[in-house]
Amino acid sequence: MSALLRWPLLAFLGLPVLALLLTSTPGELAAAWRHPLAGPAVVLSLRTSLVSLALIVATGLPVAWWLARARGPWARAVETLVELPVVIPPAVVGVALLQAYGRQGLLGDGLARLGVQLPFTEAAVVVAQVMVAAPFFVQSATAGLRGVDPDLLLVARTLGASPTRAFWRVALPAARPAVLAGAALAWARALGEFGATLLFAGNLSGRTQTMPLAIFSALEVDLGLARALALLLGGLAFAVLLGLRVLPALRRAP
Amino acid sequence: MSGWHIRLQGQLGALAVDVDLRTPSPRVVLVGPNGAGKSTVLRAVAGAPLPLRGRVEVARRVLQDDGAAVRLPPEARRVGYLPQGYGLFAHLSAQANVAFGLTGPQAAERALAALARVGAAHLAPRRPPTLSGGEQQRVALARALAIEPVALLLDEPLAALDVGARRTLRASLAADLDGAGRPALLVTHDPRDVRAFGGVVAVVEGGRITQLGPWEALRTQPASPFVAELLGEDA
Repeated sequence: MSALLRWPLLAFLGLPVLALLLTSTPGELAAAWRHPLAGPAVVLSLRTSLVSLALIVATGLPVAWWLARARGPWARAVETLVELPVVIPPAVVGVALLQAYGRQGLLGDGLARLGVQLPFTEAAVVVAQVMVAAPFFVQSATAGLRGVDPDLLLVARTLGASPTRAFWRVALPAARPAVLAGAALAWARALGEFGATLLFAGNLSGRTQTMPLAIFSALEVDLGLARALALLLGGLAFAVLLGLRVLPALRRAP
Repeated sequence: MSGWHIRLQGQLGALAVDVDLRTPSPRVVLVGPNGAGKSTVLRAVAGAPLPLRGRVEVARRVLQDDGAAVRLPPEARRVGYLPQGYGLFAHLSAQANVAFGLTGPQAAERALAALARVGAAHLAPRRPPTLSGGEQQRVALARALAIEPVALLLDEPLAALDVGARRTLRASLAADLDGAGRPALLVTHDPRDVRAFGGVVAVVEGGRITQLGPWEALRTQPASPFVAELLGEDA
């Protein structure tokens, strides 16, 4: 194929990023940082996305480990189910979450009796993020763990390791690049979550207003502020990507 | 009896396994065409979770006896297993690989001593990906021997080596096996290995043992075209 054919997409992908960089001024950035909308949103975004990431890794690793080794129709069915949130639009996820945990939802009565009200709270932000981001981690971790030679695990076991120790000391280190990549992807996805959060957690400043929602709100009052917040969030995401690509390369070349 | 008693039956994918291997010889060399089930036998003896029922006994230790509902997990079998490609942990140094199977104080020192016994002490700080095939085999052997196993399982321990290294390591591996004085089950496809390792030869074809005996006995009466062909290579 002609080398020229690769330019349209690359230009198309690069232009908006360039535009964002070129149109924002340092003064705008500084002003945005001091704006009452920004601080709480940054803190909330970092806090909720990191909590989500921790929950995803802690609950996702056992699932990935099982999926990596299980054969048969059950495991394939579960694998498809876990991937479902990747293809389902976030807005649909938001409605589905309301149907599950909302006041009129499936578990609404039960939760209300326990005195728990989930929608429109910070916990709801985390729930929405876990829901949309977890599949990315499980997918990548499963692929990585599936690539671990079963003979390595058998060797570890014959050397006295319990199944648990064989997982932590042999399988996980062997699958580390894929597990880390999955974690970074899931974190980036949680950080950028918008649709499901808006529907299930709302857009309450200081409580459920994460950075993407703050950008959405700022757009209505101050384009410069929205621009600066977008640059900030974009920078964070870029840092994740950089960490994802550069750190493993550094480790490979000691 | 210091030998082996392996009776395993079951279906593994397309392969119907029906192995009956009884010999007083502590050393058994498995030969056979690809996909005949040689590696499967080794994995089953090591304790891999395979759908194979029966009995595995070595040197009077029962590792599996489904009739009596006995199936020791791999960590309780005390067998030293070298899979094809040696199965070293790439993220650990050679010394840490050997120390993996050791517990208690001085695990690191004992690992170093185990490496020294197979002439590989100088490899201690190296990572497996930086080692040659022969060096990896030394480290894997040290790791398997360090746990003082009741038996050794070696799957194609020389296949990954180039011709020169093969010749040298064949001799030293045979010497190590003699020195270790432990029952060993080996898989190979090279008649020169068979002769160097000694012991009894078991021919595995289509999931079954089709011939069992010393190399010389196979020579005089090859029971199958595969054996005849293998003998033909032994020039």
